[in-house]
Amino acid sequence: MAPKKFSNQTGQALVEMLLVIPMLFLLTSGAIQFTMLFQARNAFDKACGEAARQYAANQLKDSSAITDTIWKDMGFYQSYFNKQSLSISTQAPKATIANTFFNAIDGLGPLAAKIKSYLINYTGHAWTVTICCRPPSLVAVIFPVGIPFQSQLTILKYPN
Amino acid sequence: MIRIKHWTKNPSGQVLLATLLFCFIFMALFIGLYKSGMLYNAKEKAIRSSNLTALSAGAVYANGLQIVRLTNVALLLAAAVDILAIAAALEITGGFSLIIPSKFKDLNTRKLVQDVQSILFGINQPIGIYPLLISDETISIASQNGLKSTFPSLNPLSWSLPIPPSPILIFNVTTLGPGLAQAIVPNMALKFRTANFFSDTVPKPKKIYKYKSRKDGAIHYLNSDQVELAPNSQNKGQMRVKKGVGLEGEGYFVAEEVNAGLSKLNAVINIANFLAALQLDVTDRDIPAVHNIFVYASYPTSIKDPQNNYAEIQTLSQVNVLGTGLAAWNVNDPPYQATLAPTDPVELVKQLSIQTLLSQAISSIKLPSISNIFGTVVNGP
Repeated sequence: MAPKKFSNQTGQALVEMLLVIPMLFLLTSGAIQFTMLFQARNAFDKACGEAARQYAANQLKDSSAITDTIWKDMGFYQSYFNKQSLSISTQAPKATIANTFFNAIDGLGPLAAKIKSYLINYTGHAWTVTICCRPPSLVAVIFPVGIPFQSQLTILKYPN
Repeated sequence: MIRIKHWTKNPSGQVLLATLLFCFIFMALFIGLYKSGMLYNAKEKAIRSSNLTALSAGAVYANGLQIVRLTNVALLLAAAVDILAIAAALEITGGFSLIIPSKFKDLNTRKLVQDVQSILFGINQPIGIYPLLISDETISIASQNGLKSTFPSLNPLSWSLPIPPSPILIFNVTTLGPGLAQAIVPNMALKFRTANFFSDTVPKPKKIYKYKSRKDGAIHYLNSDQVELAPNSQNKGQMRVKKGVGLEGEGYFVAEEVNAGLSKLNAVINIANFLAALQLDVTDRDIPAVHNIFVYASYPTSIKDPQNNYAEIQTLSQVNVLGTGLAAWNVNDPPYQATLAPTDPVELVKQLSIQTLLSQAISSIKLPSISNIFGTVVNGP
């Protein structure tokens, strides 16, 4: 006996929509989460810049104050990040012509070094601030520990 | 072709076509979203990098102004040493030698300090050591903050033209204009204070004129309010007694009395010129004092523009360095502080039209040298 073809196409559009809606939903939510990740990244960068500005204005003294300030400045976006993952590593800024000259002065003796430190009283740091952002549920498998964000800043401040 | 046409009329074919269309739309949406997000992020980073670079420049500048205070203290001590030496010399030579400066037993140690100040801070010099230090540190910090730097090494030959120098630092200018060339050269807006601010207290000698009466031969003296100019072919500065005011001897030619009263002393000492030439300590060049730096820089992005070039964001930041004064007695005052001026850097670039001027300099037919670029920026488009 030959198979009977289904000639009734009523409800085809509904079926198609039921198939498509989850895909649309996935795509839309992916776009929204992508945008929120961008905003979180932006908030993190802004918080790092604000902390650097406060450091230059001598309002922050040490690394713990800097991390607290960065965390506080992230405000609404704190829920996106893991506070324990926030870390700062500091290094000296890259050497300049002036640094070469100042290092030569240090070699002249302790008195010269003391005079130099009295006169040249500005200091600087190169920061590398790292934090992990909690991944959206869609990509949690790819980033089990979170999406790492990193910000690099270099600033001088006076007086030391 | 007929097969494709038949397939598109098939329901499954139509579904596939619709799916492909939606995928294309969403892909375009995502790419646009990604690029706009990246550009926004880059803009924020550019502003942040520019601000941090400007703050760093301000920190070095503030340190320099504190060194100015310290050198002024050294100048004060050197002046004290000189005065002691002069006092000792006066006791030997007699007090009247006070009138003639050339006879001072002046050690002139203050001049040594002033020469050091001049070389260090670039006062009355084309450029100074400390302003160069400010530029050096700022350019280094700029490159470490991600700003484009065309100063990769000390060797100017390694800089590739026609790219203009980046970042550009503009020192101590409140309004751009004829002063831009001066502002691009690193400077600290300093000058030597001279003693001629005392000159208001020195009585200005009034000119005395005289003529001899034809009646009795008596010499009459007049002041400058009683004479008027009467030039002639032999003497364009000839003065005569004012006519029409009822003075005796009106219309008589008069001669200037050069040795009358205070003018006699002034002719010997020339107080005003002496005071103007007497350099004291280092002070601010402008009144009110202006110490600021603009940092004009480019932030490179990884986004390509329609011309297939990597987009760069131009940004401008301003930092003001504020304090109470540079005199020796200000040495214990709070140190100078650098503060960021609250401006929108991207808007400032448009207002100052620096980008247009630089673009015109680059696109000119001849490859411009650095001085030509600065000349274009000075003279305008």
